Amino acid sequence: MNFLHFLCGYAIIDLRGLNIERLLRDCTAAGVNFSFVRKLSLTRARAAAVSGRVADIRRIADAAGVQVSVRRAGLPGRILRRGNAIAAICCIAVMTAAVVAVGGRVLRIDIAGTAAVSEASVRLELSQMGIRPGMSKADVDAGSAERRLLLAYPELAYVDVGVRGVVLTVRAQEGIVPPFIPDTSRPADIIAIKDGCIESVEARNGRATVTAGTAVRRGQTLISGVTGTAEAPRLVCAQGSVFAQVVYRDTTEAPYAGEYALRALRTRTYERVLERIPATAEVLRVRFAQTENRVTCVVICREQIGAVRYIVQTGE
Amino acid sequence: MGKIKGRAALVFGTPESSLGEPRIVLMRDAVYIENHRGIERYDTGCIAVACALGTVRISGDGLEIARYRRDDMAVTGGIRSVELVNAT
Repeated sequence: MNFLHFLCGYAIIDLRGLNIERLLRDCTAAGVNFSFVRKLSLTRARAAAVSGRVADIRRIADAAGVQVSVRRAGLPGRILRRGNAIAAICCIAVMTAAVVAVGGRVLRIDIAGTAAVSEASVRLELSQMGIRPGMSKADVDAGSAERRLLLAYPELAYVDVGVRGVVLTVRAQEGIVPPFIPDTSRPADIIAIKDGCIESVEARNGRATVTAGTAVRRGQTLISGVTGTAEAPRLVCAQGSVFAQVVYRDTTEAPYAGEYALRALRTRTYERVLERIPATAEVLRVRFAQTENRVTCVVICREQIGAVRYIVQTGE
Repeated sequence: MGKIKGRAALVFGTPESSLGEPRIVLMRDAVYIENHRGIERYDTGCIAVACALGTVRISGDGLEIARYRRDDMAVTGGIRSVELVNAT
């Protein structure tokens, strides 16, 4: 008997009589297969056969003058036996209840399509709404969660929250943020948004206050919107482009020293620096400085550092 | 019948004599018999199986028929000897 027979059930047949060999011969001729035929004594044998052929065996045994007693075995036989029936029903009931209980809950949260927003922050936002693994699926308010996520992350244009099986999926699509267009009717300066060394200044409107080679600090005015003379100042909206060399620097320390550790440290430090560099910047130079277990990465980039700051006039 | 067997042997590329004749595979503690014609005698020390060539007698200790089908059977246990008797 193999495992399939165990699952489908089989019969253990006790044979008593003088013509056991004839019975076996006639049964196999009728297409009944036996397994584990064992002679217990001269007139007694035991064999196993498929449950569905027991009626045929009984019929042939009557013709051969052999007494047959059958005992059901295998999984169905065990379940149907009186002692195990209650246990089997309880087991099935408990398993059904477990499946129903688990199936009605969210066991996992998948987040996809959020490059601009980190998964961790989305999970935190969801947990603040009460959406976390283990909660009931009936309590998930997908519409409300979508609205709250859209409000929390303006960079997202579309959010879809859905539950499929035991997995809650958040699919997000980032929107394209339109470029900032300054209001040219209002007077404004162009100021530096980063520290750097000015490489070129092109003032299309307004007055350049820095020249190439000047080191500037963040917030410093680069192109002033105040023109004219001191006696008769004229306020304009400064326009132009200012390119500067900006230095990005990061240091990472390893808990132990070694060649491989330092190599990994260089890569990690460089990646950390790259994360801070905007996509529009042009990398000019990359330098590393390292000690036994510390790596410093310096990246010099060329990028535009000007930003508009409106001039607030007195009495406005 | 002989012609049919001959043609069948030609088609299937088997020796003519092998068709319908018993095939016996002897292993350390099992004997596998194909093309038998049923059990003639069975007890734990001896099993006699009818075949086209005669009777295959398997002797040993604690013999058990692990599998018994219309065309093949397997006998397990401590096998001492397998002999073909009443050969014609």
